[in-house]
Amino acid sequence: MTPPESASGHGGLTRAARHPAQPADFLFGLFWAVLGASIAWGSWTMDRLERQGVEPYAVPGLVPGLLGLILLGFGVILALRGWRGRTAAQGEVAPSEGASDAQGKAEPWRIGLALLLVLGFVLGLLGQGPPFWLCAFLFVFLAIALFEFPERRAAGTLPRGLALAFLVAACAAALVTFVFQEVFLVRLP
Amino acid sequence: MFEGLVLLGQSVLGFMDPTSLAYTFGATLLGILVGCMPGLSATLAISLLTTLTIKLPAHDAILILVCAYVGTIYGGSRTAILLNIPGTAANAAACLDGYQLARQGKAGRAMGIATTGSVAGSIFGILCLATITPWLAEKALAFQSYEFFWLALFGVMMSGSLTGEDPLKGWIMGMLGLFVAQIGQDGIHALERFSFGDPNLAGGLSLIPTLVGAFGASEVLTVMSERFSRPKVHAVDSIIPRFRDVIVHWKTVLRSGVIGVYIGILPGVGEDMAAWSSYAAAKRASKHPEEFGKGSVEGLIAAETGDNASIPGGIIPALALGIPGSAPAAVLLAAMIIHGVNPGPMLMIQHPQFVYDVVAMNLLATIGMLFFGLFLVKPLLKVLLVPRTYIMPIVFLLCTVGSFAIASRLFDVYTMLGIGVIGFLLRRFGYQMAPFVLGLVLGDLLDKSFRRGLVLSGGELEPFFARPISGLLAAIVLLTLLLNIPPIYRLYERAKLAVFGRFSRAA
Repeated sequence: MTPPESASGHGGLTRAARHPAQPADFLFGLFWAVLGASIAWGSWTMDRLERQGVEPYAVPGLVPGLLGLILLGFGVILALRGWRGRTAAQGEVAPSEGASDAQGKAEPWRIGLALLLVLGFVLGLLGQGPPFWLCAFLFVFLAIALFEFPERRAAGTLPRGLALAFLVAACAAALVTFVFQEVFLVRLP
Repeated sequence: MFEGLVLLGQSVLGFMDPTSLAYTFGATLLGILVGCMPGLSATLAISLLTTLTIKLPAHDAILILVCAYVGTIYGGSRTAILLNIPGTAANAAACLDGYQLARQGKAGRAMGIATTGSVAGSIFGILCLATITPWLAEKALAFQSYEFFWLALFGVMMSGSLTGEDPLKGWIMGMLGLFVAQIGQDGIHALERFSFGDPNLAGGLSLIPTLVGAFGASEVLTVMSERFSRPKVHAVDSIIPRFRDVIVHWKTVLRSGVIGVYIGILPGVGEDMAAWSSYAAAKRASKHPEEFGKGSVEGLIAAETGDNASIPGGIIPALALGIPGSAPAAVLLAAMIIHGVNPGPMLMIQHPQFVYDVVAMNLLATIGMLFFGLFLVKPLLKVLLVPRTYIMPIVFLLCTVGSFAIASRLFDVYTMLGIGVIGFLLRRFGYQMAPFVLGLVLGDLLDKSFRRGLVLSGGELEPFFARPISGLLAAIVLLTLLLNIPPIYRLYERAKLAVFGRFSRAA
């Protein structure tokens, strides 16, 4: 790990380092361009409040429209860059917010499971009938048990892992429910 | 001058009650624990705590948030030193020498140095916060919509340029944040924009659930999708800091403090850049640059002083201008607004005491940081052994409940989840959330300032460029944009080489 050249105090201007455009940049560029165009179109067709005597340069759609056009421009540049497969001038090589953000460490099954669990919890359980404490318990228990499953099975400590998951989930669900419902007086979903 | 000291004294005395002290130490400790855990950032801690403290009085809630902010940035140095993994992005520079010291059997000394460096940086930043904020707020009274428009855009552009590997992607996220802030009733004519007739969207996306999604849920998903292995923690020797280390390197402390505060004040540029810049400057000025990266005490002091000094630095523009200096400061700003405080130039006129209250909060947090840094090092290390598979589902649970608690609407939970999932997927392709958050917080200001400026000027764009500060900010924004275009950048490099090459030949 080395400090970025930018740290020399010249902002991003001294850096000549380059990195290859990602293959997904082309598709992302197209997506941003389409989104930007849609925003610009939505802003153009927005009510201009002429009957209220609002000047053309103060209409509510002005800023979103400009933002849409800028997004369209950036999207086109990104798509072109991705299409040409050319290297692009880098920005600051600073560690990003969220230090765990390094790519490549993530495993596909973990990504799928994480998404399944959070989507299932929020969209499938919350507000659909079961009490909050039960939803919370199920989510935490399943998350711990399933993510630890491969290691626990390999180490032969599956029952212990399940018992711990049960304990942690029960404590977390009870504590969160108690604090929010009884202390903060929030009517939980 | 003396009036300021009196107000500061009143603020400090105002917090000298058992409840405030309990909040101070509890929140600082919580911040340190969160900072110790790789993957959990200061922004996550503050956004999550904003939801959990929503029912508290404003002063108590903001005290907790400031203490957690300071604690998190400091706590991240623990994992940087012991595991070579920065607890937060701000501590990445501390890995270089902190971990090398730990490998040499000096982990305790490294933590002592990190503590003293952090405290020194924090105190320097607090002094600047107390002196610069009133001055800047007074100057900002002369600012009009033109200046505020450029300041908002400047913040988003700088954040986009400096927080990721690709400025273009940073700017796209910034524009996206600015756009999301436009959803709902516009701030001047109350016309619904992009709400598609949905009553939930009429008021716009709630700020805090969106922030919790952007930093909380997306970080939880990121950490959950990675394999976790139980870390091997280095043995810890004596943690009592040697003040000689700081006294010998007083120039490094002072330089890093200045750099940290300066970078903190720059809108949208966070603690991580402050740490790297301080580290690089210390290396350039050092008599022993060859020791940097091999366990240099000077390097570790520079990094930790720089990042902690940038915390009060980032709060300065948030209070004086309403423009946050970093992503965590953006969340802090949002929390202040939710609690009825309106940061900006008028704050020093309407609520001058509040500015000094924030100074006092930073001071208390620093005392808490010193206390835990000296007396609770070894017990705190136990948190590193708690599997992340236990912590992350609970953090997500808190993200969910916290988002719901603000207005008891399931729609806010869906907002948090939607932004979180999109943020998680985008992060995997190199899109950072910090510019998005800056855009989200500054979107309303940018929209109102641009249209009000046009109304004032009768539709003319000239004042946006002709007024001195506006012109300067406009030039920086445009240069930032232009110099990231490869052909223009090459031209600039050639011109620079030609000019400086001639000077060096002449010499």
